[in-house]
Amino acid sequence: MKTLEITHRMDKKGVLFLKVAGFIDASNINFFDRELNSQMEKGYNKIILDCSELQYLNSSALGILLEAHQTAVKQQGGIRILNLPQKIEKTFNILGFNEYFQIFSDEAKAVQSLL
Amino acid sequence: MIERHKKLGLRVKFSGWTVVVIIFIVSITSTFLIYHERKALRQEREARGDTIIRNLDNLSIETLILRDELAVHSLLNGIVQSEPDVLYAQIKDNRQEVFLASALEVQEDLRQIIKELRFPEGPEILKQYLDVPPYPPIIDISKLIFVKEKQLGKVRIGVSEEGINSTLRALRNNVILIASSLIILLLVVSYIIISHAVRPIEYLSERARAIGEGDLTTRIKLEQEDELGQLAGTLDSMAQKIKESQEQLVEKEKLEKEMEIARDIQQMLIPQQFPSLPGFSIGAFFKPAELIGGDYYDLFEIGRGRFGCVIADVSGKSISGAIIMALIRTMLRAEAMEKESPGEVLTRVNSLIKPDLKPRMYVTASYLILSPREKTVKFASAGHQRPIFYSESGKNAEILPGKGMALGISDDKFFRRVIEEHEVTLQRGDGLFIYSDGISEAFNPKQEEYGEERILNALKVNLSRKAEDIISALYEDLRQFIGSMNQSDDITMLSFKLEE
Repeated sequence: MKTLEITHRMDKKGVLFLKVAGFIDASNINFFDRELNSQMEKGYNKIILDCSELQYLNSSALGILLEAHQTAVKQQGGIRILNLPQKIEKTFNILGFNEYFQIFSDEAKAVQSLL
Repeated sequence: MIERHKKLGLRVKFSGWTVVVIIFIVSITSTFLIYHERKALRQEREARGDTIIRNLDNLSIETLILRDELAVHSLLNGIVQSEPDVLYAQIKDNRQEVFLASALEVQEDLRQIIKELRFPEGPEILKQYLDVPPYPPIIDISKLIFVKEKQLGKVRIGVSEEGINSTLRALRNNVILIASSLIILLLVVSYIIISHAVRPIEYLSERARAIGEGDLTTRIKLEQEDELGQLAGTLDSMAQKIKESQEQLVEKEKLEKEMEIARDIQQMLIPQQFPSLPGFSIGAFFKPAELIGGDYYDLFEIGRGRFGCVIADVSGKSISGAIIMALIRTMLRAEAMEKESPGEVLTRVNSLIKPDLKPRMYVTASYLILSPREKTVKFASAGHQRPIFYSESGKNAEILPGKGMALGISDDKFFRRVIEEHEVTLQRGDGLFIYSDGISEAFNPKQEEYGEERILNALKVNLSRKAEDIISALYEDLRQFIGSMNQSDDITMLSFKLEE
């Protein structure tokens, strides 16, 4: 059974850290969607997605991320990708998402880019 | 009508049983009551009789000694007149002279019976009970008269039990009267109480019938916390659950129908046969997944002996995805006729399709232009898996370079800036392999990805074969890798190889 774990952490500067661990696929895509969008509905539009323990995400998850980012940008925020594992970075590169999302391996820099 | 009858039956049954129980209790109680009352009354009568006969005994002694017959008579008459229950009084002296006084009603036949009645043998009081219709039951009390142990005579009186019976009759009548009013009262009260108690049951049975007839929206609630209230709660949650699962079923059927339509459109878009490419072998494989996936591929002539080749993947399988696929196919075919550059064609399609895509939808595509005459392939990838070049003579397979955003994400300017176009020249035995992420991202039961390395290895061991056989070999390798796992995404691959 593939599992997905999402943990939240709030930064003092109003940046929300979302750590996604495990697999995002058809079985839990709705959970991921709900978690991300409920945070955005609460007004968090500066989000850092910590992918250090992410093993897989499907194309629908990428679509959700895309839409969330576009919404966040409209509200002077954005989504930053942190610690993208090599395998997933490859997916990002193939899709051209590396051109679209800012990807960081340094947390402080990621936060800085949102302020 | 049947239900009405049954409901009435329930009430009548309850009331009926109540009445039966009450009648039973009242009968037992009143029988007991009357028995004891009769006993008490008789004892009282007997005690009274004892007192009278003792008085008579005392009073008669003097008159008997004096032999004053007149006094004896007046004594007896006085008793009979002053005591309404005393029917007769009799004194016999030791010379067997009989003095008798009696109430007027005492007739000759009774006198005869009295004459024959016994007297006690000793000093004790003897009681005998007479039942001589038409006279009321009589307690005959008799005693011997002694003075200093010398017997002077005998005395007897007859006490009527008439009073007892009439008292008891009155008592019984009262009991019957009270009991009947009680029964009627209880009947009314129990009918009202039972009607009240039956009302929630009627309500619940009516709701249960409504559920059976398909009404799942009306909520069921009883303002009571007893078993019936719990039953109402159970019934309510049952209806809710039925409703939910019905909705889920409808939703599931709707989704399945939608999937089916999407699959049909998808099948329609996949080419049934390829144009012939002079000098090339071609192979293609397409296996749609049950749930998600929106792959399509195309190979078509674009004029001047050249061919356009497309592989694309719309994120998420749905009717809208299938329509987007159809749109892209048409746009690509139209743009391909006009433009020489794969990058330009994709850039144009990106601009055209972007307004039609939902916010979270995007499309990945690779577009290749193959010129059999020049033996060249120009290609660009918009967010799609890069094409793989393989060479039989070079015994090699490698991923070709390229950059590009998936279609429908960015505006024209940004897309154009990122997309790269490359070109390869083919020698004899060289070929190209394009595929979708349904292959590279297929998982085995150990949660391992098939990945690019396995694709390259599978190609390398099959380099000497024709394109269609390379495709079959690769699918076989993939199938063995996946094992018991379900196919989670569409599997699409296409290859062409220069054979001459």
